[in-house]
Amino acid sequence: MADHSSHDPLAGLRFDRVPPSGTYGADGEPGVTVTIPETPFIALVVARNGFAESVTGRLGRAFGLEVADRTGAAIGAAATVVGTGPGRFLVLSKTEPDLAGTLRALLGSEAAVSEQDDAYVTFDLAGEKTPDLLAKGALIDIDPRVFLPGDAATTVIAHIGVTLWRVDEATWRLLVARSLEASFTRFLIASGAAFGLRLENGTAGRG
Amino acid sequence: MSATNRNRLSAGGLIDRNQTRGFSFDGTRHRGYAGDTLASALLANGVRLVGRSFKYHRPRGIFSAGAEEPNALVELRTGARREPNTRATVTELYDGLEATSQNRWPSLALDALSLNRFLAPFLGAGFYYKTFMWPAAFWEKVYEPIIRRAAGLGRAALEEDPDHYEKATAFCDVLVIGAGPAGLMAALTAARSGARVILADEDFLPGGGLNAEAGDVDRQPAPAFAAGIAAELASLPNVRVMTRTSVFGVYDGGTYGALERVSDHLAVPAPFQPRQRLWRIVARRAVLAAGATERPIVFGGNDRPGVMLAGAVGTYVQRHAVLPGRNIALFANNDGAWRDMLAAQAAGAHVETIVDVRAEVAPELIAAAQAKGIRVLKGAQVIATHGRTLRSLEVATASGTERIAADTLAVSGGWSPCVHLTCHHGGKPAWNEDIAAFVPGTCPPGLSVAGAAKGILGLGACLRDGAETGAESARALGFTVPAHEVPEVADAAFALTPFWHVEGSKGAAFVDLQNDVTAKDVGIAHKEGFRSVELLKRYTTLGMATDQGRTSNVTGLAIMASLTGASIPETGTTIFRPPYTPVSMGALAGHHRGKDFRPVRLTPTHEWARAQGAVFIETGAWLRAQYFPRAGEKDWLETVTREVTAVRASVGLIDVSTFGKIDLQGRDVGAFLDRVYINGFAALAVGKARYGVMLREDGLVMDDGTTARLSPEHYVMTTTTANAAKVFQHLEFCLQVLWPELDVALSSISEQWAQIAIAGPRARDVLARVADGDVSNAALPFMGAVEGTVMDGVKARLFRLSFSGELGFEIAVPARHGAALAQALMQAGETFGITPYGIEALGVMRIEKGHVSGSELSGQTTAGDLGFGRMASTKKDYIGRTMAARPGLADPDRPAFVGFRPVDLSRRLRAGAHFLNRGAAPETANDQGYMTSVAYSPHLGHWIGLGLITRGPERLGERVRAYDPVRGEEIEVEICAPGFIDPEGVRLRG
Repeated sequence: MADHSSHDPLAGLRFDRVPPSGTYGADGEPGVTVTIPETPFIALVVARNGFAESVTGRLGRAFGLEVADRTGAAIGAAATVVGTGPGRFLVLSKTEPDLAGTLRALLGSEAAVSEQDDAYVTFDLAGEKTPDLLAKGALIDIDPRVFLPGDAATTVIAHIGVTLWRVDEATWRLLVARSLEASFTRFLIASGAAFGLRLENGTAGRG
Repeated sequence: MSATNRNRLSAGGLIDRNQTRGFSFDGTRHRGYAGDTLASALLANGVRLVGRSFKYHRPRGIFSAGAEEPNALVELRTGARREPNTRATVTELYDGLEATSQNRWPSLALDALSLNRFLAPFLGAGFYYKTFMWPAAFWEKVYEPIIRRAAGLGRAALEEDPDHYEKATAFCDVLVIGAGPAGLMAALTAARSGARVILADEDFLPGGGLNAEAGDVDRQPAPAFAAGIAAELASLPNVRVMTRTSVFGVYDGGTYGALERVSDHLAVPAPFQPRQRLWRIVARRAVLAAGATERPIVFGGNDRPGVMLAGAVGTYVQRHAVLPGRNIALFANNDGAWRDMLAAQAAGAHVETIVDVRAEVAPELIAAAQAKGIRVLKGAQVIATHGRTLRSLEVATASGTERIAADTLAVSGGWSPCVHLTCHHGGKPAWNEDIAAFVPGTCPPGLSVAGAAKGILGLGACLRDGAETGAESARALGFTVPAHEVPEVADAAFALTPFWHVEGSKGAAFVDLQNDVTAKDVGIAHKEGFRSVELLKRYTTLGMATDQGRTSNVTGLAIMASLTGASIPETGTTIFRPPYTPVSMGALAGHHRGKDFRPVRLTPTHEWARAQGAVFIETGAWLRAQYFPRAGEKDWLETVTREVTAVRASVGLIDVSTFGKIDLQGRDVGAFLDRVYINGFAALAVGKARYGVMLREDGLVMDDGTTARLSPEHYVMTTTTANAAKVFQHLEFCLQVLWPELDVALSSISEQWAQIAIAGPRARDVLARVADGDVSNAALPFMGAVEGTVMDGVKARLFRLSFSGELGFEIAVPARHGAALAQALMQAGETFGITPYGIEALGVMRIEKGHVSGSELSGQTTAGDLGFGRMASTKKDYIGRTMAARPGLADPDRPAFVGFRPVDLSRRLRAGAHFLNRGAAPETANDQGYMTSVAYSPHLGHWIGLGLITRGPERLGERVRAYDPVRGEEIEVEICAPGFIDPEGVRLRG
């Protein structure tokens, strides 16, 4: 891994490419670790007119989760269901390759399902300084005493649309539009350099 | 090194004598201590002359000890970090600090432009408006440069700022603004209730006035008491103490702007630390405990270095252990200033004389002063000052005029509460006779005021009020506030007799030191008819610039009030707007500068296009391939011409992933599309796509694009790149608000699918080698849309569409396969010489074909203007239909869409040129429309254009003039049909 330890953590990096894996900014134990894992399978479920409740129930039963029609994340082994708006759910799974197909079979004409596997890049943020880093871009209250595990939001960070939820005490997961991966990573590095930031890009070289 | 710290007391103060700080001022090296400001360190080293005034270049010294400083503005740092107009009074001293005086030439001591003061009779109020009027041609070329040189306020750095800045957001229950006695107590009581508290203070040391207080609080020195509370607050997990942070504005919804000076107290920021951080603090409640600012008395020579606010004298003595002078006199109208002087005397200062305008002063004060050997002159006024820096005063007493030696004159005209933030929602301060000052009026929602900021004078009262206001704020939010103890401090009686201006004093008497506005200027403004304080401010500049009249506003309007015979409350005060203190542009930009100014969207084939040598261009947020130059090509036109020729002759490809893509599912999609497009969609067959035009509610064209029906209840819409988000938002609005009964579910799939267009006579041959299924004309006819696979099983959507006028297809694959698809197409097309092309070639081909694009979909054109009139259905209603029938939009004389070719085919056309009939004068009344798009057509071998001209379609063959005053060109053009190539569409359907 490269060590990018000049005063400007973005010095020498192309603005139109996702920065490489490495440690950026302050020396010592990184305050934030950013992992860009292989993207899970993702589908968007939009309940058709009058079926929000039914769809919510079916999703919960199918994946063994407590799913509610609210902006929250129901996290389980088989899948994660994130409410992003009334009757709208992002479903993520590491194990269902044809997730959209599975959901179509499950929900039939009660919901519109679309593949979103390639629409998002996943950022997993962990480390003590994660809330401080997010506060440099997010305009919502991400104080860890307020934004609890399972809470979710679809919001804007550094002018970039983001759906984020808190996975557990230490980990925050963010979904960012694929086309904005480079810009968003640059924001993370610029804002996390003060704490020391480790970037582990599991998809480097893609596209 | 100069005689260091010769004015420093040997003991006391909140400085660390073991930590010296070397610094330089105008090249001379000095030494101060940790805990000093630049101002206190300069005074400690006997530097009294620190700058020249704005207009008259008069010598100026340090006037205050805080953010209100009007005089001591210096350039801080050098090179790329040079920063003008920095207030020495709030600049924390650091090792290696370099400061330079500003607004002087050639040197601070000898300033050539100080001759301006002899021109003062001509430079008075409104002189800009009176002097620099004629001739108008001189405004920019002569007057402005002269004024800028003469009336500068320092020089900004010319190099790029090497530091970085950031922005952050914080939420809290109670925001406390100011960490003085009231603020500390407010934060403490709120914090003990468990509320989330932010305490922000602009100083580097919490405590505010406590740090300059000589007495004890809670049986310990006042600064130690402050430090104790600050330490308790810092130890609580629900409290964030932000020092070096100025809350500068109150915005909507309990949002406060604050600037944290993270690294301003360092020569260079620590590695990876920002210079400053802009905070957006969202607070359910806030307590303003910003204190009060002392104001001076206006008299002749009141700007001489050595004249200083009395409270500032107290601060320098108590907090910094610095004697501002050897021989101090006081000129005041209130008891508080007396106490400051008595305390300073006790700390080691020499106060020789007290001049008070009042005939009667409390006997105990007089006794205390006399006991210390201080001479008291009651009912007296300072009428003049003398010396380069202050040497002596002239004082008028009942028994005549006398001259008194003094090198420092402490002045106090009373205190003005810092009500600024209370006015940011339009609240007007109210006049309080008891303290002769404006106090907060209606405050922004959720904001309470505590302590001196609300007009409470007296330390004990401020502590009590702070504690109670903090408790109330927490209680209002439902927190239980434990009982709190407030230390008892006996407050001495406060007495003040309003007094503003020594009339009949000698020499210029300054109201606003920063802007060189004198009492006489206020008089001139009055004589010329200016009565309103807002106009007084604009006309005289009183209260403008970095200090925003902290020390001058009230005095200025008091003088105006006495001239008009109105009371001060009748005269009113100017309103305070954000920001409370200057905020640097860097902090407002934060991370978003240079290439990070805004996010950049990259297409799925970005790296592939780079490898192909693409030149990129920003189109909205997207970075797209503009063209793909090859070695030996002399300019972009040659490259683009090659690309267009190659497509028309064989085949080319372009990434069109940037189009908006919207997935629509449901029973009612057909009906929905009928309502949002002008043309019919209900009858669209499965497997087919249709071009559609959407109007805004006002009848103007919003966007165009194609929508394909993939299955009976599943459609996919494309929008233009520019309008992708807007169209989605529009459709959501229609479904959520206008027709919630329709069964239509929308999903954005723009990011999911990479989409590549291939075009040219060989396009089908190339596609056939990549697609897994049949792509013959029968299987995929013109405007066909099918789902299938490509590249051995990659899910794909194939559309037979054309923007170029050639046989064309668009292939959508999941985004991760975008680059692979481009490579596969290149390989498949190798034998045909397949050519990647950019958006320039795309633009040329659409102009040749006569398709509208962004330049025509300008938000000012109707469907009729663009030639879609006949496409608009008359059998259904749709958004915009009614409004499009308004006479102005249905006027047959409106400029309408046609093509143009130069009469002399060797001439170049220019987009933006306006059309004039032959013989018509080039004036607006004769404007016939304008050229929207132009291109060099490789197909025709000359320039062609598209544009909007009055009754265009009726005028084919007519010649008009294309008039381009911007480039100084005018050429004759012929109106023609907008399709320059294959108007019958044979190629498309081939």
